[in-house]
Amino acid sequence: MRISRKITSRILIIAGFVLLNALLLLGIGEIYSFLNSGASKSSIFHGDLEGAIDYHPEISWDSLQAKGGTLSLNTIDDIINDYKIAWFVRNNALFTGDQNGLDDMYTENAREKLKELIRYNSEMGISIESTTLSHNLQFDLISADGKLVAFTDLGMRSYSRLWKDGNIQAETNELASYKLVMLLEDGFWRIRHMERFQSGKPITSIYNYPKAKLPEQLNGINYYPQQTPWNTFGKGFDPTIIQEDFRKIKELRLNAIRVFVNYEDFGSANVLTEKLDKLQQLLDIATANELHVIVTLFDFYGDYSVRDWTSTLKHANQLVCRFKDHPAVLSWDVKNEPDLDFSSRGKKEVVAWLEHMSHYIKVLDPGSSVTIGWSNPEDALLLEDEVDYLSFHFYRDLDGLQEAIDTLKSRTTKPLVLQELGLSSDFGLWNIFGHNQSEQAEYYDQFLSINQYDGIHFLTWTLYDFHSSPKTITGGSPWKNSKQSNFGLIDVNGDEKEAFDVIRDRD
Amino acid sequence: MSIGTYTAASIVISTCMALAILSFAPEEDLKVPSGFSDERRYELLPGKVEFLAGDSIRIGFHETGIESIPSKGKNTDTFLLWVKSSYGSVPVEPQTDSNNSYFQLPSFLCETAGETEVLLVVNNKITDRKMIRILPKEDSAITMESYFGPPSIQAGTADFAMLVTLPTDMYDNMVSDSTMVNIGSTFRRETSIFNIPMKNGYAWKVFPSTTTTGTYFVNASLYGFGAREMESEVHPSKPVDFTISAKREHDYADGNRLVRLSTSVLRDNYGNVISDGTLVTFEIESEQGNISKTSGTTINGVSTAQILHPDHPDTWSVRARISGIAESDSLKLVFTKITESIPINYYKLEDNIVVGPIISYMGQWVSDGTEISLFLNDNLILRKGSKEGIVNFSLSKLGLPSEKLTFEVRALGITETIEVER
Repeated sequence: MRISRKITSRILIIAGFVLLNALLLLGIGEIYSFLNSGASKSSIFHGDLEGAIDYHPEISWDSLQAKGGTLSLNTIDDIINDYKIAWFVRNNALFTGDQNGLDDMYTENAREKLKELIRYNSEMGISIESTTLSHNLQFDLISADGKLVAFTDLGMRSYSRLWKDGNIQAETNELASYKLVMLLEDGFWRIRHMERFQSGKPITSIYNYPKAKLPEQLNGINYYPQQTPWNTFGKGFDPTIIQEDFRKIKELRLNAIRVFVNYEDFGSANVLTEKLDKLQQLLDIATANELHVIVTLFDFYGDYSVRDWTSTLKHANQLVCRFKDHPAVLSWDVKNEPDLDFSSRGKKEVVAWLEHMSHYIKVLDPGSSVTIGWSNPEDALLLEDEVDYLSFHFYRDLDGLQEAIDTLKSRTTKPLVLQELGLSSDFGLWNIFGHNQSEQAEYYDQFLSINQYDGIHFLTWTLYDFHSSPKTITGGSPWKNSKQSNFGLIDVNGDEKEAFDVIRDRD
Repeated sequence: MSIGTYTAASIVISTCMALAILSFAPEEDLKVPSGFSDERRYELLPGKVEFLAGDSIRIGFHETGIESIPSKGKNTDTFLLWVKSSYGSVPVEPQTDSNNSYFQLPSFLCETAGETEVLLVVNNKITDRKMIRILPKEDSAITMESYFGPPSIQAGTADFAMLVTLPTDMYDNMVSDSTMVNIGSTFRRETSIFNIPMKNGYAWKVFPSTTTTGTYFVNASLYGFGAREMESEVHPSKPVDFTISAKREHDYADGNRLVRLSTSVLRDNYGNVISDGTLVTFEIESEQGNISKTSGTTINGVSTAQILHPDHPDTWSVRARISGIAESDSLKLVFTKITESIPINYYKLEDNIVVGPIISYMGQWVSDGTEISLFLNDNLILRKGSKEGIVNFSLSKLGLPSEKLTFEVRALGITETIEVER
C-alpha cells in the first residue's frame, strides 16, 4: 500500500514535471512566434502587394481627351495597376474586414471614409462580397508635375453579394460610373476622391444575342485519347493519334465531339500558348474530319468565389477570343456538371458564377452557342435563359429517359442535348454485378430506339476504354476505376466492342 | 513537430472550421422567379431624391397597390435596405415608430456625395430600387486642396506650370461641376484673377512660361475660403555661347603667379542671366597638346577660375564649356622666358655643382621652389627646388666615375651644359 502510494506520488511528480515543461515550451514557443510575426521586410515594398493579388478585371482606357501634362504609356500602366489594386483591397476589406493595403491605395481622407463603412458593416455582422468585372477609364487631366490624375470610370460593371449571418441576403449586378482623383504619393497612385455618378441601369436581362444554330442532328461522342484520359492536352498530346481517333469517329457516322479544357492545366488566368496551340491542332484536325467540337471549359475548376471571378473571366477571354472564329467550334460548354459542386460550394455561389461566365462568353462570341453540361435533367432548367441549348447527362436506367425528355420539353422551347450517356461494360473481378459488352450494346440499342422517336441531340460517353482512370475522378477505389474505365466503344486492346457496331449501324 | 508548427497547425484547423461554417449556405431553389406573384410586394416610397450632404435621409416603403401609405410590413417579413454609396455598400435595418417603418441612413452615408442607389430587400429578394442623389454641401466651410507645380519652369515658350485645385466641402466631398473657382496669380508685379469652372471635382489653370524670369505666386479660393499662396519660379533657360577673357599680372612664365580666367555674363536665349551655380569648365591646351582643366560656378552669370603660370615659355589656347549646352570662343595666351641664361659652377673640393643665383626678369631671384633638373647623358640624376635663386647639387654620394663628365642643367625652359673634371 505504501509502495503503491509512493509510486503514485512519483508518477504525479513526474507527470507534473513533464506538464510543466510542456507548458514552458509552449510559452517559449508562443513568445518566439510572436517575436517572429509581423511584416516581413519585403512587405514594405510596393511590389509585394502587387504580386500577392490575382485580380484581372477587363480594363479599357482612353487618354485622347487628357489635358494638362504628358501622360506616358508607362504612367498609364502604373495608374491602372494601382487603381486595380485599390479595388481589390477595397473588395477584400469589405468582405473579410482585412484592411491590408488600404493605407497604400487610398489617401488619408478617402481611407477614413472606407474604414468607417467597414466598421459599420462589421458591427452589423455584414460582409459584402464583390468584384469589379470591367472598367472603362477616360483620362481627364494629369497635372504638369505628373502627380495628380483625374479620370472617370464609365459604366464599370461589378457584382456584389450581401452576406449576413452566413447567408446570402441579396446579390446584384451593377453598372455604375465613378469620378476619380488619384495622387502619386510615395510611389503609389492613391485614390483621393471617388464619387459615383449617373449610374447606369442594372443588368437584368442579359440575353439579347442572336441564337446560335445547332446542326440539324447532333450525334457525337465525348472524346479523350485512349492513353491520356482526362489529359487530352498534356505531354502525351499527339496529332497523329487524334487524327486516327477522329477517323474512327467518322466511321461511327458521328458529327460531333466534346473535349475538355482543364482550367489549371491551361494556366488559369494566364493561359499558356503551348496549350492553346495544342487545342488549335485538335480543332484543325476536327475541321479536316468534318466534326463539330463542343469545348468544355473550366474542367476541374471548383473555386467559384467572387474574388476568383476575374481570373476565370480572363481565362475564358483568352480561349474564346482565340477560337471563336474557328470553323470547328460549335459551342462553349461553360462547365462540366457544375451542379455536383452545389453541396460543397453553395448553389447560389455556383449559379452566380455560371450566369456571369455564360453571359461573358456569349458577349465575346455571339456566333457560337453556349451551354452548361448539367449532370442530370432536373438541373438542366437552371439558367435556361443564359444558354442556347440545354445540356444534361443521363446515366440512369433508360426507362426514365423518355419521361425526363418529355418533362424538359414541356418546360422549355430550347433545344435539348443529351450531352453524356453510356453504360460501362465493367463486369469482372471488381464488379460482379456489372454489365458485359452485350448489355452495353443492348443499352445503346434501347437508347437509339427512344431517340429515333424523339430525335434529340446526343453525345455518348466515350470512345475508348481506358487502362486506368485518374484518381481525381474515381477517388482511388478500384471498382470505381474499373467502372469509369469501361464506358468505351473500343476496348483497351483497340478492338471494337459490340456497342461500336450498334452506334455505327444506327438508322 | 516544433511548437511553432503546432501553433500554425491549430490556426489552419480553426481556419478550416471557420471556412466550413462559412460555406454552409441554405439550399434554396433559385429558379422560382423572385416569387413576386405569390408574395406580398413592397416598394420604396417615392419622395425626395435629392439631398444635401449631411441632411438626414429617411426612406420609407409601402405595399404595392396601397399607394403612398407607409407600411410596417408583416411581422413575418424581413426588410433590409441595401445602400450603395460612393465608397462601398452597407445594409440598413428598418426602424419603426408608432405608425410605420422606415430606413434611416447612417450619418456617414448621408455625408458622402454622389449618386446613391438604394435597394429594398424583402425576404432575401430585391423588390425595389431607386437612386438618390446626395449633393456636396457647398455653403459649408470649404477646404481648398491645391497642387501647383512644378516648382520651377524654364523661361521660353514651351514650359508651363499648372495649378489644380480640389475644393471639398466640410465632409470632404468634391464640389459640384460648374461651380466657379477664383484663381489668382501674381507675376512681375502684375496680379490677375481668373474664374474657372469646376469639372469632375477639380478646377485647373495653366501658367505658361515667359521669356523673362520671375516668380508666379498663385492661389485658389472658393466662396472666400482660400489657402496659402504657392509659387513656381520661371528659371532662365539654357545659356547660349559666350566669350572668355584672361587677366594676369605679367606675361612671364614664372610658374608663380595666377592667371584669372572669366566668362562673359552668361545669358539664355531671351537675355536672362543664367542661374547661379552653373558649372563652367575651362580647358587649357599647351603647345605640346597637354590639356589642363579648371572650373568654376557662375555668380551673377559670370564664372571665374584660376590657374598657375607655366614655368617655361608656352602658348596656351583656352576654351570654356558648359557641358553639352554652350561653349566659348578660343583665347590665346603667350608666356615668355623670365631669364636668358643660368649661371653654373662646379666646386671640386666639395664635389658640388651650384646653379644660380638665377635672376628673374627684373633682377629678383626666381621664386623659391622653381624646379631645376640635373641630367647626365640625357638621364635625370637629380631634381631640386630653388631657394633664394640657388640650387646645390652634391655629386659625392652619387657614385659617379672620376673622369671628365658633361652635365646638363634644365630649368625655366633653358638648358645649360657644364663640363666637370673630378
